[in-house]
Amino acid sequence: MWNKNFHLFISKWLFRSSVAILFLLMSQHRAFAKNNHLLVTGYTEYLNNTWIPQGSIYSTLGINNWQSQSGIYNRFNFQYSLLNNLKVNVSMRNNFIFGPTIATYNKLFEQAGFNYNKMAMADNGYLDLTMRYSDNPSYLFYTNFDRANLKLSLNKLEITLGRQRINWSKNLVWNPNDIFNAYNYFEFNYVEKPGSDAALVQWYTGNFSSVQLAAKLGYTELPDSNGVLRREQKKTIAAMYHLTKWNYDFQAFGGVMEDDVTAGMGWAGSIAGAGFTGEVSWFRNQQQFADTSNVWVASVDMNYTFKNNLFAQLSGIYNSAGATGPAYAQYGSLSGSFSNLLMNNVNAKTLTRSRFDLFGELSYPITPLIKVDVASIYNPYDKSVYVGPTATFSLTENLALSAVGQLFWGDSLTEFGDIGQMLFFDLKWSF
Amino acid sequence: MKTRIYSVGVLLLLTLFIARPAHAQNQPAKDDQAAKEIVSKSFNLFLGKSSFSTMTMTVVRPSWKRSIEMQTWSLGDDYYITYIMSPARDRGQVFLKYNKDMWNFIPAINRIIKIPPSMMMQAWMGSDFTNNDLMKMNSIVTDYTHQLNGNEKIDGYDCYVIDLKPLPEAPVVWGAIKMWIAKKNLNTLKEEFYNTKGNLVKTETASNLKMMGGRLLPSHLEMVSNIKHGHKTVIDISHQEFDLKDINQNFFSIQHIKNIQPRNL
Repeated sequence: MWNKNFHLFISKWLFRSSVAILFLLMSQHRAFAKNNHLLVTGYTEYLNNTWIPQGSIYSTLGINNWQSQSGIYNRFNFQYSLLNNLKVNVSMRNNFIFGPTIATYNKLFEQAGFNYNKMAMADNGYLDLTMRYSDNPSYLFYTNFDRANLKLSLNKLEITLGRQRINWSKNLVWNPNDIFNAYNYFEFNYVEKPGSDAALVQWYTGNFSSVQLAAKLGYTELPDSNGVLRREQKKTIAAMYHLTKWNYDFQAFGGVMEDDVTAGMGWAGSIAGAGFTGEVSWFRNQQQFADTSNVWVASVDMNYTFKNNLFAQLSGIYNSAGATGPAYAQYGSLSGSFSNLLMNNVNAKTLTRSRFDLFGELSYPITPLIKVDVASIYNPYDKSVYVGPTATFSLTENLALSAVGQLFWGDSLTEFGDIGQMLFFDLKWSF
Repeated sequence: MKTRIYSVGVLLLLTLFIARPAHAQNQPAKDDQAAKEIVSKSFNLFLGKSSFSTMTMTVVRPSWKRSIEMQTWSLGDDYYITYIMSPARDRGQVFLKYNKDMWNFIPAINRIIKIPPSMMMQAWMGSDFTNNDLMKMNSIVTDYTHQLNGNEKIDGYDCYVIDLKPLPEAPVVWGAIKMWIAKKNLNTLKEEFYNTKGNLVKTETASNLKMMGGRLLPSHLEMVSNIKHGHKTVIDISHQEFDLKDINQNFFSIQHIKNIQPRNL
């Protein structure tokens, strides 16, 4: 009870102080702009999403028509220097999502016995820093703090406490080393990603080398074998060493990620001007350490920028526990590819359900103001495919319009089957 | 991944433009030594052991313009840090260059990205300053012959007019360059770049001379295309310092680019 009240207190306090800072900012924007003690950045965007469902599961449920939803997403990042060596970082996301798709999602999730709205607004941190104002089958309205931390710097030692993003990535696409905040590739309009409630100690052993020790407490919300959603407290604790040598960055880590013992290494460098990065991670269940097998997840990434600014990228990911047949054969189509798309239940071990996936991307500025990009993922085992074309238009200095497609094709129970096609229009104003 | 990593090239190149440490200079055989000396001295005006600058680069096109504002610290030839002040969505991004290594810190995702060499050459928004203009500026001393070709007035300053022709084996793109250098303070106030066919391709002008970092330097630079009407790139230097006392190699660290604050000027 005390614990719950404490959470509530912290949440409310954080919310109120952020709102107070916000109003202060609005009234004295110019004054603050000149004063580096407080830095406020952020954006407000309008995102429309049209979903063209494809798959037998939807027709069985009578969902044959195009679906539509919109969202107004607003983000504030506050960075305040209390003292020279003490910084506060708070980021607030205000989300209002509405449209008929929400009712459809609710209907779909009900089939599996889950509450879509509840899951969509879930806060998997140790503290619940999400304020759910109001929701129904037509809309969701909530505020989430995905950063709220204090950072203390003592010469070469840095301690960060609170909700933060601990990013151990080296690749640009798949990040098996990102054991604290693995992210869902398809959630393109949330690049910041949720934070972890964690303590991070960094010791810089040189200008380009460091030791990090991080511990995170949070929750996972996954269906158990009976299909009942279970919320369990999990911890991730790991140490990492990072250094630069031979024009390469290297890192190696070991620790515990949720139920697994883990270790891994990653690198970032170049070959003949092309970016060459990689991450390899090993996992083994710690409860059944003796009688389970090793899981290896590895991804290698290459990219090259040509003189005409054409950017090309190739990447592959290997998951030793991944399926060599239809990727979701053992999960069922409801908890398969589609729910994976909606939920943030990805971790470094489950970046893909396939034994191997291949990624390719080309991006080119047609004019300095218009950039086109097409990315694709192919699963060679179940032959399903994802194609993501994007066009971004810089309308003014701080206003951008994007048209994004997320097109999925595949048979039922394949990695990219049971979804259909998604079209997005995004208008984003940064400040 | 939709993470934005771009514009690195020009950022880096601009830093080189602002603080260019001295290079060993080959003396070509046939040359007008007086003219060469003037060009060399003009070039050296921007040199320093270390430097700090705040500048805005604006790419101007007939129907639009975009600006980027940054602060840059440098030490010698090997160390650079660039902090992006605007546009808003990139504010707080930091670039670190040490020798051949380059990193980009993106605060929104709390990540350091190692920038591969091919990505460093990207131009920002189609800027009219090319790699050659910026990175190999010292080549105007070493890769060309220099001839005094009279006197002209630019913005009220008496200027030497100097013709540059590339040396036979020089790795340069221009067929000829014409420079106007102020007699009094040796600032290069105008430069014309000609292609190998002898056509004028673009013109750079420097104006608004100010005392910056204890030196009289131009604070406004324009590179105007003579081929594409209405195309130009403008650089405004609002602050410049040389030989900073509080900077050493440890300033240019991974730790520092995660924590650096822009200077209040």
